[in-house]
Amino acid sequence: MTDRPSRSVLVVEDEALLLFTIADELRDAGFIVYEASNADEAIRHLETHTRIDIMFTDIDMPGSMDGLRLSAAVRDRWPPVKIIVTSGKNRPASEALPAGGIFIPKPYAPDRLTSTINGLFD
Amino acid sequence: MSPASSSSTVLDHPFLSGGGEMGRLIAAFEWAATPLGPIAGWPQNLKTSVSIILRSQVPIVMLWGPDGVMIYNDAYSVFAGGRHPKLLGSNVRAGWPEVADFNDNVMKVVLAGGTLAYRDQKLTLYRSGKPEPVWMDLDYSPILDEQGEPAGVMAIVSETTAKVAAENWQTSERDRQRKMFEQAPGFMAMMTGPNHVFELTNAAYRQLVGHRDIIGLTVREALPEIEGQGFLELLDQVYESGEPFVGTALEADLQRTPGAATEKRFVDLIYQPVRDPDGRVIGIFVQGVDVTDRLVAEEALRRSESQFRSLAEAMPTHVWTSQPDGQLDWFNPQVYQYSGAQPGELDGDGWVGMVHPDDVPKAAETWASALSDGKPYETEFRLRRHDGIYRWHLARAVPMRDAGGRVALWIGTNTDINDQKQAIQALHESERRLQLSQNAAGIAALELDIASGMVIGSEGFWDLWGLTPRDSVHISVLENIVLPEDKDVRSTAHTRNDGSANPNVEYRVRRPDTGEIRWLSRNIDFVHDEAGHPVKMFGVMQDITERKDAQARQTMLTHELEHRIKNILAMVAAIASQTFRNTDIDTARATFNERLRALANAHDILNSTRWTRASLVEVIENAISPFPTGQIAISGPALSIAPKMALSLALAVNELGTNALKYGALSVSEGVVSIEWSLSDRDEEENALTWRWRESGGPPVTPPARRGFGSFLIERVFGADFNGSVRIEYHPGGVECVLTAPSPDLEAVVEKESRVHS
Repeated sequence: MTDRPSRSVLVVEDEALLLFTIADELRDAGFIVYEASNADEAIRHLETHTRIDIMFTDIDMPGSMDGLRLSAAVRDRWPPVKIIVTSGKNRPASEALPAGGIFIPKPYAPDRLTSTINGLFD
Repeated sequence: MSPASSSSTVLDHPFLSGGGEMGRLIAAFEWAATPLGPIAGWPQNLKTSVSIILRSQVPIVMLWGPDGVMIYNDAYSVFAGGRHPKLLGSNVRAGWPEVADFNDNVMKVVLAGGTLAYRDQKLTLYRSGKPEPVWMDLDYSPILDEQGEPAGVMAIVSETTAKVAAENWQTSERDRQRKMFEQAPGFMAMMTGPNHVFELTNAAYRQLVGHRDIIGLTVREALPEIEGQGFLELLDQVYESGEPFVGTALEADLQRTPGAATEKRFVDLIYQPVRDPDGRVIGIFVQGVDVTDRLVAEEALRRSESQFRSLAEAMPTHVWTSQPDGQLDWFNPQVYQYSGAQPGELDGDGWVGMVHPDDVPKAAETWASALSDGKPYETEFRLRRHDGIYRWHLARAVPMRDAGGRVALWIGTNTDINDQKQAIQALHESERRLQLSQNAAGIAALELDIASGMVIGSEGFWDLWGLTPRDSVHISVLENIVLPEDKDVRSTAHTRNDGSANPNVEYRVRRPDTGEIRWLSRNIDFVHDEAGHPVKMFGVMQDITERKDAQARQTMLTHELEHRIKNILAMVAAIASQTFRNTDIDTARATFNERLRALANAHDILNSTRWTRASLVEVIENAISPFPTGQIAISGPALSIAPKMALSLALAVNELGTNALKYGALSVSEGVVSIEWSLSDRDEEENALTWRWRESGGPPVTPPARRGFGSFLIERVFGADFNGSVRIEYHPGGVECVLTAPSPDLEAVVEKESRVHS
C-alpha cells in the first residue's frame, strides 16, 4: 500500500460521532480524509482540493441537498470522483444512484468500507 | 086506529069480512072525505072488486076513479113498506110522488080501456125514506062499471128485485170468469167427447198452438203434430178412467207458427175430467203453463251457479259471496275448515269475528267504501284460524252486476299471504340490518348493469362518492370522479364487458361536493348470463382514506424507526471502534458499557419527545444521575436542543463525570462540580451560548498523558454537534470544559438554517 500514492476521501456525514470515527478509521487505513457535515461543506472541499478521488456520503442529511442530490451534482461537476453512498434507510432505486455509484447500508464495518474503496482502484 | 073507525066495522059491511087487516082498515076508513064517498053509497062492482082483492095472496092495488084512489090488500101493504097505511084512500099520484109520471101514464092508458104489463121493471122508490132500486113485474087492467066503462085500474104488483139481483150477479160472474179464463196466464182448453173436440180455448192456449182455428176440431185433427208424443193416449186414459192427470215439465213438439217446423216446448199441465150431473165423463178440461223459458233460464242459472260453486269449492283460497248490502251469505268449505266456524255462523256480519281486532276498523271502512262506490274491494287483514293463530290474508271482492247495471252480488276471496308477508318482512329486516351494518362499517353496496351502464347504490353509496342521494347513476359519472392517475386501476367499459376487471382495487376520487381527495376500495363479483358473458357487477365499496393515511404513517414510522435503529447501531459501532482502540479489553468493556448507558439515557429523553427536541437541563440531570449528584450544581436558562445535540451532550457529560470520579473533584467528598450555561441576548452573535463544566476542591490536576475517546468526543464531536468549539483546561485547581456555540434553540436554529439556504 505504501508504494501507491495516498488516495483522498471526502467523508460527508451530519452525525459528528460517525463522521469523526469513520474519518479516523480511514486515516488509520492510509487515506487522506476530508470531513464535511453537510452538502455545502462537501462542495467547498471539492472546490478547494482538486485531488479528491472518492466521496463517501450519507444520504439522509438536513440542509439544501441530501446525499443523493449531492452525488448527482458531484457526478455532474466532477465526473472522475468515485462515489459511495450509505443510508440507514432502504437501498435507493438504482436509477437514483449516480452512474457507477456504490451503496453501502448503515451500519457498516470500517473494514468493509476500506476494502470497497480499495476495490474501486483495483 | 082512526077515531072514525068507531063509526063503521067489518060487521057493518059483509063484503069486507074475511078481508084480513086491510078489510078492517077499509071498514073503519072515513071514505066520505074521498071522491068515493061512504061505503054505503059504493057501487056493486066496486064492492065486488074489493072483496076479490082482499082475499088474494098476490099484492094487488085498485086505483079507483080518475084520481086513482088507492084500495089494496095485505100483500100490497107489505110491498108498500113505510108508506102503508097512509096510502089507503090517497090518490095514486100523491101517494107515490117519485113515480107520479109512470102512474099518470098507467091511469090514462088503462082508464081508456087498455092494459099494461111490465116484467122486471126497474123503479126507484122511497118506501123507507131512502131511494131504493126495485125491480117489479106489473100488470094493469081496467075494472068496468055496469055501463061497461072503465071505472078503475087493477094493478097486480110482484117485486122481482131479489131475482133480478141474482140474475145480474150470475151474468157478471160469468163474464168475469170468461175474462179470467181468456186472460189467464196459463193455457186452458175444454174438450168434449171421446174424440176430444175443442169447445173452448183461451189466448194462452191459442198462443201455444200457433193461433190455429181449432174450435170444433178433434185433437187429432187440430194438432196432428202431437201424434206419437203420448198426449193423445193420456187424454184417452183420463176420459176413460175419470182420473185427472198432472204432469210437469213435459216435452212437447208443437207447431207454434203455421207452416213452420215444430218447436220443442216444455209444459206443466193438468187434464181434469168434466162430468155431467149423472157423473159420466163428458169432456176434459186442460190447463197448464208453458215453462220452456223458465226451464231454460233455470237451467242456465243452475249451470252457471253450479259452475261457480264447483269452482269456488275447489279453489284453495277462501271464497265468499255477499249481498249488495254487504251481508255475506255464502262461504266455500275452506273458510269453515280454516275458521272452525259452523255453517251460518259467519253469515251477515258474523265473519268480522274472524278478523284480528286491530284490523277490523280498516277492513270495515274499506268494505263500506267498496259497497258504496261499487268498486273492487281489496284489503289485508289477519284472520283467526281454528287453533287461534292469526294469519295474514289478502281479501278481494268484485261486484257482479245485473243487466241494469245494479250490483247483484259480490264475489270475494281471501288469500293466505302470511308466508309472503313474513318473507317480505324478514327481507326488509335483513336488508335493513345489512344496510345498518354497511353504514356502521362505512361500506356501501353497488350493482351495475353492464349493458346500460347504470349503477344502483345502497344508502351509503352516494355519500362515499360525494353525490346527492339518488336512485341510480351512469357509470361514466363515477369514472370521471376517479382521479386520472388511477384510471388504469378502475374498471373500464372494456374490462367490464369481458369480465377482466380487477375484482379488488383501491383508487382515489376527488369528491365533487368538497373537492377532497379520498381513497376508495372496491371489491366486485361478476354475474354471467347463460353464454358466460358478464351482465352484472355486484360489489362493495369503502372509504379507506383513514386506513391509507394510517398505513402511510405506519410505513413512514417504520422507515423512520429503522433509520434510527441503524443510526444508533452506527453510533454504537463508532463508540465501540473508538473505545476499543489502543486499550486493554477489561477497561474497554467497562467504559463501553458506561458509554452505552449514557447513550441509552439520552435516547430515553428523546423518545419521550418523539425525537423532536430535548430540554438541556433534563439531558444534564439525566447524564449526571450515576455520579454523586450532591456534589454537582446545575444552573442555566431553559433551552430546547436538537436530538443530535442531546446525544453528544449526554455522552460528553458522561465522559467528564467519569473522569472527575476517577481523577477529579468527584473522587473526593469535598470536591464540587458546577455546570452553568448562559445565552447572550444578541441572537446573531456567533458564540451566543456559553456552557461550562468546572471542577473544584479535588486533588491537584495533571494533564492526561494521551488523548483517548473522552477528549475525542468532547473536543471534536460535542463541539461539532453544537456547531461550535470546545476547550478543555487542566487548571491545577480543577478541570474546566467550555463550549461556545451559536444559540442552540431549536426554533432559532431552524429559522437560521432556512434563512441561510433560502
